[in-house]
Amino acid sequence: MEEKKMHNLENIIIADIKSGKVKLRSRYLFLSEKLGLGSAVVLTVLLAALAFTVVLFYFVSADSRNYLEFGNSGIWAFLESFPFQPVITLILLIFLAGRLLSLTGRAYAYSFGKLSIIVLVIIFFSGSIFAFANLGEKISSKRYMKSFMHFRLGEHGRGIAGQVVAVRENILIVRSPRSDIMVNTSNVNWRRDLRQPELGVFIIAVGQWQGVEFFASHIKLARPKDLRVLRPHIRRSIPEFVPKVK
Amino acid sequence: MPETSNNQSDEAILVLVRNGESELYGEIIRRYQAKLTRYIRRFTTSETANEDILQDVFIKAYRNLFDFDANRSFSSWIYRIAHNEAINHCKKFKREALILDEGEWEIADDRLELGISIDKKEGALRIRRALQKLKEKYREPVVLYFFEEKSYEEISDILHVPVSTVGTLIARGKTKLKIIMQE
Repeated sequence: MEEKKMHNLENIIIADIKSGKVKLRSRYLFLSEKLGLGSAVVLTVLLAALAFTVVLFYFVSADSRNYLEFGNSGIWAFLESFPFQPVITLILLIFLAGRLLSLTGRAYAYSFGKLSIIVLVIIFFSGSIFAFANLGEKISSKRYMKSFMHFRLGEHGRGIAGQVVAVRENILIVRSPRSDIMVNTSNVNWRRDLRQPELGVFIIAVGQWQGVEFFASHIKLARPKDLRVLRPHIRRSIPEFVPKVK
Repeated sequence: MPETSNNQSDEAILVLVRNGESELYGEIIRRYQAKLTRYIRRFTTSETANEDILQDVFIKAYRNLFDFDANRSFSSWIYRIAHNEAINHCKKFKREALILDEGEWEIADDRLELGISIDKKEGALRIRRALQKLKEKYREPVVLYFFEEKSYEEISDILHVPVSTVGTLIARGKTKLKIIMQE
């Protein structure tokens, strides 16, 4: 009985194959599926590496990291200027790359830990190479990256950064990529190593807004390597100061 | 059908099937029908459902033959298809069943080293109940390792989990099974 059943199943399937009812799916279909998945993995890893380069460049060259040098008073400014968008994009791309990689070939045979390390090493290694090739600066200076990266560059609730375009008594006019800011320095404790900034220098300050004025509590001069993200977005000429309306 | 196919490996036969000798697929069906029937029977109590799933497995395997890597084991590949089809069937009918054939209790007693002295009939019933109580993630590797006698690598290929995880799941599953059996 069992043998008859077995023979019957074989006959049914072979008959279906011979009649053309059951056909082999084309090898090219599988090939294109594999190529598609492989390309998706490569593309995602590449995008993740580029996102890492941008994040790296932002951390090294934007105002965000500099606020931490003010100690506790710079923490809020640091958080406000933190590049959440590129960092979240990087995390999502890492997850996507891992997920896609786990669908390819025999990736399932490797543990999650191993696979994650492989993905992270590839992304961080290629990202570092891109950073070394100055790709981060090139990408971040693109117009389409403006809304993605420079949404509040140099101007935050508790911190500002920009170029000094006018110096008056207890007032500095600082140009950020968004506007000219009136910085009140009456609360600043000028130390020996920091004199009143001169015209044209770049400064980083923490403090609080009061109306249209920013009351700085601490100011520091930006080093030449600082604010590389911000500098190209400030117009080079120093026109007449027009206070912004908040 | 050429007589030589009896001596050839599954992978070699499948290369010929892919090259147009489709009638050789009958040999593959003969080789795997009994094994897969027994395996699928662990997921469904209905004989009709078992036959339908089995037919779907062989048809699906045939259709997707070009997806099979001839350098790897066909057995794992077709078990993977059978596993997925059986799981889909269980989800569709929201039913989970686990059937042990006569004599499988002895395999379990020898390989699982449960160390429980009870008669065969009662033992088969108790192990069946215990396996049903075991979480699915432990049960599947335990069944594949102890009853289907698959290697860690084959189980990794069938369940798509890392080889190291297979070992852990089997060890934990065995411990949990012992605890359930002793309750």
